[in-house]
Amino acid sequence: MKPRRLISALLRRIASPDRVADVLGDLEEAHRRRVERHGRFVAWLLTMLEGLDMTLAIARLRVPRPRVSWLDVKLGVRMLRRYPGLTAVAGLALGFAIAIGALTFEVVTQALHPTLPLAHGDRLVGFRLWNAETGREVTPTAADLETWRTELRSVEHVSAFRSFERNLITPDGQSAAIFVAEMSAAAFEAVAIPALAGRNIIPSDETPGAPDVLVIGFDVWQERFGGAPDVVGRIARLGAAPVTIVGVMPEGFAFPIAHEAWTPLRLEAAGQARRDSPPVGFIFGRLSPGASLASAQAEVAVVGARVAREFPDTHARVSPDVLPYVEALIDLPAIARMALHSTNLAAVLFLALVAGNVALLMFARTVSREAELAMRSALGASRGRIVTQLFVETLVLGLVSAVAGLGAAAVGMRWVFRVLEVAVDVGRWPFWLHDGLSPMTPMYAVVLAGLVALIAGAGPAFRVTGTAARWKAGAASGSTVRFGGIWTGVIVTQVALTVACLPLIVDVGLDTSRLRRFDLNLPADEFVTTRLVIPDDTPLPAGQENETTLRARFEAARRAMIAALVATPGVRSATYGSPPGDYVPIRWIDVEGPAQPARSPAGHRPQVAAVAPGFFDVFGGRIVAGRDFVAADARDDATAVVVNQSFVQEVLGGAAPIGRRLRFRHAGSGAPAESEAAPQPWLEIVGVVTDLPLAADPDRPDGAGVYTSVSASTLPIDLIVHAPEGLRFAPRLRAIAARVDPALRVSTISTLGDLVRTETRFYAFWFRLSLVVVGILLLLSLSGIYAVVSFTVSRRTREIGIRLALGADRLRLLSEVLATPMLRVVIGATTGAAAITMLPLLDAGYVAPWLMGVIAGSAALVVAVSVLACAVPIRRALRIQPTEALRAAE
Amino acid sequence: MTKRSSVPVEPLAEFELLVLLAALHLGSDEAYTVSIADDIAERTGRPVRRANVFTTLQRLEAKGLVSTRLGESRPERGGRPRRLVVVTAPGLASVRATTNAIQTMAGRVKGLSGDTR
Repeated sequence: MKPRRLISALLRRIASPDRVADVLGDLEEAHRRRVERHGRFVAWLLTMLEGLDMTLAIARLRVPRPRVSWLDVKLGVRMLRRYPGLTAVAGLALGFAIAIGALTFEVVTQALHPTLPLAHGDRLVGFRLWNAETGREVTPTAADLETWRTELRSVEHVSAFRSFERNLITPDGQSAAIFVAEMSAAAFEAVAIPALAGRNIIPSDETPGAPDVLVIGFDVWQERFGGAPDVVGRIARLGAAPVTIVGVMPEGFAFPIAHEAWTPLRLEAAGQARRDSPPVGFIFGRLSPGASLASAQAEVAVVGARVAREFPDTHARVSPDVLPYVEALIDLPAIARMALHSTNLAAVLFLALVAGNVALLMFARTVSREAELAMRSALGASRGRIVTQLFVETLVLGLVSAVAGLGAAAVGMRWVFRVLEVAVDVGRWPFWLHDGLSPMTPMYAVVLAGLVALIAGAGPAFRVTGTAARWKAGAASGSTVRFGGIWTGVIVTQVALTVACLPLIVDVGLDTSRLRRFDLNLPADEFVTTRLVIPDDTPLPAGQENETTLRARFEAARRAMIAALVATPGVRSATYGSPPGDYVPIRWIDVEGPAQPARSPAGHRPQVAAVAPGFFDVFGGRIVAGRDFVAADARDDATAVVVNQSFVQEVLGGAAPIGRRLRFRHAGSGAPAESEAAPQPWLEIVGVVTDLPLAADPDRPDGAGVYTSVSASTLPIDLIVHAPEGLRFAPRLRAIAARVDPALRVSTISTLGDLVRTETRFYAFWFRLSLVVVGILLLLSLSGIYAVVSFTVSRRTREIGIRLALGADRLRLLSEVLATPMLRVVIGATTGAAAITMLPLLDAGYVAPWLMGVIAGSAALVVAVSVLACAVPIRRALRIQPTEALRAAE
Repeated sequence: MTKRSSVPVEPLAEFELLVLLAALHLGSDEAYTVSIADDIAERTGRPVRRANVFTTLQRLEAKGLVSTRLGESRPERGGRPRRLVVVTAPGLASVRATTNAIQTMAGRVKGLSGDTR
């Protein structure tokens, strides 16, 4: 049997012909021996492996070993200075792309592999229980905690916690909700962080009947107690229950998630049947010295199996898992993990695209240095040496960009956090998340810089030095290197992206501008708003623990709040309802009887806000027909709605509205499929109010509005108070709430002006970000086009010079030079315009004329600017003198 | 003034030394990739990848420590000749220098020289 054809073919590609014969002979000889010893099949396998091994070894011999010298680095720095335009364009683009890459990496790292900023953070583990039968997670109980605490040797300080939110009412009567962890004393030993003042929770605090104690966080100490040095020992109220403050934790301590205060976890497990054991939220601990996650898992599995045998009624199919703390605490779904990884990959691909563009510029620069490189080659520099030099030059550029990119990523991280805080209303972040960069991220940025150097440095270098043989033959001038299909593709893609992004940026810009002009027509900073709720985990008097009692209590508290507020000096009015400027839903409606045709073929979709009686008066609205809401409209089955004047015009065409009926097409505010749509009951228009500002949404700043009555059972509810002192009224508002009902939770207090400004900032952020992205895309496209035209002109210097000397028509010559690059631009612009037109077409079935105009304008702008980018090289082309051309040909 | 050799001696890595010693042992008519690999494997008792022997020979040839010539065509090699290896004078000098250095160093370590074979 002869050596495999594959090996033979591979060897012939990489080794010199005489060596191929040697290697094939060696393989053949070894193969025959193997056949005798092991049989044909095994011999075939081994020979294949050996052949591949041999091929790789020869390949390694042929790849030049890069020898990097300081001279290469110096040359790289010199190149940055010598080509400032290229350095600026490429540095900006690469810096941005590396910033995006580093930012994504940081977010993914923090989400998937967070580092706990605790002394033993890497040894903290969490327990999870799974029911193999149902495939669902099982909530651990006090009995499980007791079992693991007493039996496990590989995990120490086994603890548990449960979370709740409660009003902390300080001795001065101020009330504000805080996020509290009911946590085992052992947890403080697990994290090994002592209290800043006073003490932590200790085991004796866990004893039923022990005094109620509270450990507060640094922020609560500062904000709620003014950093009072004698805070330890003071008595505050947590909801209705008095608690003694026994300690203050250091700044930044928010264990186990984002908690602001801690109370002891009191479990009455002893003597209880396992079935009746109370649930505990989450069990965790610290790996004992010498133990590993694997050994802990093995031990937990053994204990779990024993518990399953002993308590088959509750634990027959339940198996426990030990996982790293955050992984156990936050079960990130596989799809979310995949999405995060995909985002990271997308960022790398974006960098590769940008590096591809920079490669185009580098290619043009390298070609312009062909004579220098040919000289070096003639003096004995190998191809590997020259490629290494060009690689290092680009690496220097990549590293400079990486430094700039890291700076931008650090700023970007803070932006991301701020934007998420606004967009998601995240509240407090888990303590392991931070808005800085992790130590791994700079290393990742260096890897990205290496990738850039490979694509933008080594790629063009290999291409240009492919003519090394010709250089050695002495043909240093008159380059025959051409732009390939890949770079044509890069330019076309770039232009297409730019054209596609421009209309989007115009849209975001218009939205931002509309938002900036959005006016509530009232002194917005004199109106404060907050959300009121009585949490459903609030302890209620014995025998009254049901939802109806809770809602009745909340309704009473709501009424009492308004009464107390309007009686407070400095308060002009108070009401409940959707704060003007805040988000309100838009909902599809059906109108009984004749109605105006809607702009959308699907029908009318007004904004819908829920308000209380008297809401319109607070904001200067006037009932122009019918009546305002009355107390009876707060019933759950009430059918009264009030519409605004725009609704009467836009939907009813100005016809008499009172008594007309409308209904929501389905319960939610989204747009479910027709089959899922369940029409709601008919509602009757009982009044018309003058137009008042609704949501500060740039897509629907004005227009038709429907007001429904706030139901008596609505929980939570938005409170709006007109107090000319604005935010300074906030402490009094909290104190009033605490007096009305200690359990009444007041969330963040802000002014109506703040709501609009937050929304505006959010849009302004996207506008700036899209400006940067489009700006960089445009810059890259233009520099790419410039490089192509410039390259074409220098490659055809001789031909252009001679043809000009022979009296060729300049215009014709010009069109010939420009034909290919401009064709690429036109193809790119057309593709981008077509792609962006498809978006609204697929979404709404039509493209607004203004958008068509913007798309056409964007395409025209990009083409026009591309022509301008060609101006400099064209000027150079037309000034070529015949003598110069002939000299270039020598 | 110290007298220095006019021909610089190329320092050898361990595997290079083994390959050269095997080539010297087998002689110029029998030393080629397969036989050198077999010889090292047999004498040292450790597995030897022929690819390593091949690349080491290439490197030694590039340094001028061995030269090669083609032998006769052999039927067991599918009619292909062996590439026979000859250790050159600089190669021999390098082997001597390296083995001397090892022996000198090992000789100073008590209880080691007696154990070395």
